[in-house]
Amino acid sequence: MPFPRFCGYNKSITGGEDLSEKLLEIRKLKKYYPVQTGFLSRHSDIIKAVDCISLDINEGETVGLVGESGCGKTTLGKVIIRLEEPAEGEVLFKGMNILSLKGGEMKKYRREVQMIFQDPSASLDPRMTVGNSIGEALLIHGMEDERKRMKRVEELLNEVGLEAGDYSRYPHEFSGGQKQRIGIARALALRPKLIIADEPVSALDISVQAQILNLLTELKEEYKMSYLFIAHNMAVIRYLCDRVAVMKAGKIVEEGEVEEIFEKPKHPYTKALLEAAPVLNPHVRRL
Amino acid sequence: MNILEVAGLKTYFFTRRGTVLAVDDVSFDLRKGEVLCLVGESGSGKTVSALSILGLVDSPGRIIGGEVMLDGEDLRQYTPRQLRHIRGKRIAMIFQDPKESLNPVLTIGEQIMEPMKVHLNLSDKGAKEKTLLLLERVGIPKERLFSYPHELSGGMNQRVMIAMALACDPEILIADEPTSALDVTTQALFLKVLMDLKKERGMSMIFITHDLGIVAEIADRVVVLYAGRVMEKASVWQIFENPRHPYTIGLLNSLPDIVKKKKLIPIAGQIPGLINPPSGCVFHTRCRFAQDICYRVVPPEEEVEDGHFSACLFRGSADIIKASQGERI
Repeated sequence: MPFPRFCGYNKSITGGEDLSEKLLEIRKLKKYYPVQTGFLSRHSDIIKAVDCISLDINEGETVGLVGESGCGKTTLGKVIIRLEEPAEGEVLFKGMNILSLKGGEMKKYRREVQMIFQDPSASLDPRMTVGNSIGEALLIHGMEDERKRMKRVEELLNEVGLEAGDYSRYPHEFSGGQKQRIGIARALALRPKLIIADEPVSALDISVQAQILNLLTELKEEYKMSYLFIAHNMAVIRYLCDRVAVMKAGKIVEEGEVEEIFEKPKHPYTKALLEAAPVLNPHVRRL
Repeated sequence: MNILEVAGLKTYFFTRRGTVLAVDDVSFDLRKGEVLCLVGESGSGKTVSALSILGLVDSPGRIIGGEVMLDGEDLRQYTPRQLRHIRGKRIAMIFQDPKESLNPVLTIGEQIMEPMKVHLNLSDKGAKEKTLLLLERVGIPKERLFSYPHELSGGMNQRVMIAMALACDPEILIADEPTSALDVTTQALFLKVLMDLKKERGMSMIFITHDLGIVAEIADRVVVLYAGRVMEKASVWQIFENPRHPYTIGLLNSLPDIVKKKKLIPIAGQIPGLINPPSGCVFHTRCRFAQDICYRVVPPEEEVEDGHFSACLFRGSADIIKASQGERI
């Protein structure tokens, strides 16, 4: 299947000669939420979930976004796929501002950027068969021939380590790890260029977590995708990412190559995160 | 010296779909003053084991066999009334989610004072004094005495839970995944408070977790559980340096390390259901060393070195020893 092209597609930017091509550029993005607090909600306040963030993702790169709960990392992911509208700023995908896209153009953008969610049980429709869940996106994006669609879905199921026979089963028949595989197959259906993975392994048991991490690594090579990998677990970030951005209270406090951040963290918050994470070695106990 | 001995514990849940063998013949001891970590994934039976110790298993679950000996007395023979004198007084427990286990309509002060009034017959004034000391000790400002749980953060609420658990100076503290709802920095702070208090009071502790990083950090001894059975029991050093059960080795190989990037070798397959657990060794369906005999024989726990038990028929085989030393790190 050829990749869909945008109306504003800029050939000079995506020529493909340069490997560190910018796929996604986030420029001074802001997303604020008004909240009502106090007695009878008399006070209104603003939560700056994403507060002037700039971040690039290159083609074929895995960028980690790490921070504690409530720091705005999920909100940033949602703004990128436009599940949330930002207050200010720009998001450029292949050089084109996606915040001004409408209708058909927006639909094309959605094929190229997909999301994997944290809780696989909550993100699959319990009344749809696995085949229909994965095939829905194909149908919406124009693959109307049912036989062709089924063939592609079966191919996807195999790729994520499930069986073609799982096509007509329902989500409740699967374990947590298998459901996450279904979520991944669904995200891959349209051969996206960028996947936003929001804590995809934190709800899984450890023995299954490693399976999914390895699967994500293999699929990235196969599909030549980029990942924005949102997580709170520093060890997982180190395993999977090329670059990492550390986020705190809506701002990116430090950003750099993974090895650099882990070996020579500069910002006190990055240091605190690294120091607080337990180490798998009883020799380095601190308590 | 053992303060608590659990022997041959079997807790089953009799559901309409069948009998769930949640804890199936689990034995372990808790020595005085030590931290014993029960490690396992979901469905391994770690929480049910802890609840069984306190006699808190609800219908359709029932303890159908085994002993729980506290200082030489079998708690399973106790009446509910006698058990109430043990719970909160001699053995206290902290649960995973403080929001679920604190009462939203009582102030935290009232909740910390309650066990002291019940078990120690303290007056309001005496209980309040002791509560203020406890709050200070866990690092919560004393004005918070009159706060409600919703006014505090998750980490603060979890510290309220410690204060409550320690109100009657228990000999044993059981902590069931107390940090899994907390952020890493809050977790580190919480563990520090917990371990300081444990040392100060000479308490013994059973710490339930799925996080091997925390185990490395705080455990003296470790019990590895899988599908309701004990796989391996050893000191924390033995577990990390010389694991002798394919499941433990598999867990260590599937965890990314924060210090160094290493290759992950996952355990294949899924966690089995407990209504019809696999025959023989429960781990054989996912074990890369499994032989025919593993399908038929339930492996006994045998000592491989001093104080180190493994429930694997091939615990001493060259392959397993190689896997435990070579592939990891």
